[in-house]
Amino acid sequence: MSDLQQKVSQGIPLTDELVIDAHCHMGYYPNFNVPAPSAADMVRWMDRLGIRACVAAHHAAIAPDFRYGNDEVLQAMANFPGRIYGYATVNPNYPESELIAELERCISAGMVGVKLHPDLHQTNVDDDKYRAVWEWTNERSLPLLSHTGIGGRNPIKTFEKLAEMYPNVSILLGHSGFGSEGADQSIAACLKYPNIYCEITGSVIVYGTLERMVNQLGADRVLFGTDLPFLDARPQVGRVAFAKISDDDKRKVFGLNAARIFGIH
Amino acid sequence: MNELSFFDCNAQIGRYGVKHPEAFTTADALAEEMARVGISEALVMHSMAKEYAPKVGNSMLLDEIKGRDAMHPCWVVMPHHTDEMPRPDDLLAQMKQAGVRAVRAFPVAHQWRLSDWCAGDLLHMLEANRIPLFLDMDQTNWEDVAGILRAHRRLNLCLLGTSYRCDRMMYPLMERFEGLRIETATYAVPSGIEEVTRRFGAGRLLFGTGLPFTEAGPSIAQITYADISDADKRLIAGDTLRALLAWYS
Repeated sequence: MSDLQQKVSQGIPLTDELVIDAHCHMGYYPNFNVPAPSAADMVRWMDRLGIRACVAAHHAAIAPDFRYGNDEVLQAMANFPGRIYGYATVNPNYPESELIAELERCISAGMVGVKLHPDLHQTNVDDDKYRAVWEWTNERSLPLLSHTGIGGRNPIKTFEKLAEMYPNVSILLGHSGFGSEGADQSIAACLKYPNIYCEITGSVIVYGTLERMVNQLGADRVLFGTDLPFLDARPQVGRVAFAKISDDDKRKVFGLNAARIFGIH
Repeated sequence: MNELSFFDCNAQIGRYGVKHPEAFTTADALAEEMARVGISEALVMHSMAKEYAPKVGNSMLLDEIKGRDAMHPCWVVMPHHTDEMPRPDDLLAQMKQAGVRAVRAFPVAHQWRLSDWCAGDLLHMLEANRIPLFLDMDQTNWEDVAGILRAHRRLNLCLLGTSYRCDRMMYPLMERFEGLRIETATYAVPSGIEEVTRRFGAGRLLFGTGLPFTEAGPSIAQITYADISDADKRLIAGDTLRALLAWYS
């Protein structure tokens, strides 16, 4: 049995490994119960599982109030240095000047990437209202995590065009489009553009899709994420640990890739 | 931590109309995956019982898992009125003869209503004999679930695929109806297992994976890392399901 699978089978925290959660949130959510919403709750779960660090976009920021949400994450970064990092999250339904000012504020304060949620903000990810955000992110060669799907406001295929337009952005496909078809489209996008990566968060963990990504792309292009506390972090830990890939590849997915992309050490 | 004896409440074999590349179809493949991840036993239904006809799929299931002590048959059931299923008393006799200890229902896929006017005789038989009924949440809704529990207060109803948005509806029903349980797969609420255990008891959660559609590792990690006692972990991992299936000797 794989060493990592053995540890997870016994509930041993992966403290000796480098595990970085590239897709986290924080706070309450309006249409369902989040029993453990705070940064402190998140860190407790991270400790229990052995997750060294996470990169978070607040639930309020991806929906009604990005300033409130980003402030909460900045406070969490201060309270838990080296454990919680932040995505600067912006809403394209607000003036462009406000978005750029917010990105400047958040990245200057230490956040490590940009987060978009086109579905919740009801704006196509390649809409003109996002253009300045993409350009700003590209000028600074930052990672950008976006919610994705195979349809909606953020279909995987649209990110191919964006990857070509903004080659300096490391585009992280949040949820990799969901499901089996999403995985196929994400793999195709990654094969065409070296600045696109698959991120694996999702509540329905379809059998074999992680192995498919790693086998077709290589483990360097796949990132571990949990959606904590939107979702329980444990399932994705189990998914990677039990995957039919080598432990070396699991370690890349678990954290080595994120460390490289975000500059977290 | 003592090693857990996992008993999966939600596994399938058989061929499917819509199948993604890695999903396996045979009992051999299920056995291989169970051994790989450390699952001791599984409650298994046959896909043809859902996607074609229950009586055909239920029969295929018995053939395909025959001799496999680690696999326990779960039959798909419907109301009897169209003679596609035996009358409830006959169904009970057939189940005992075949060693079938659990049933699963697909009201949406099979176009019947999970209400007493449609399925009352079946539900009454299941309740009276303490037979666990497994029900996917995409085959029903919380209103119907509440309705059948009000009408059959002792029914052992096990909900599959509840997902993570269900607490506000599930909690009030858990408070009122002791026979209600949920599967852990897709119940990806952070600290959800701990909260349900604290509020309602570990006996209200059943380990499940959704194999071969969804991975087993996630469900296993939810239990091995749970912040609950080892005794509660053992209940969730398999002991509660074993007790539920022991409704006749």
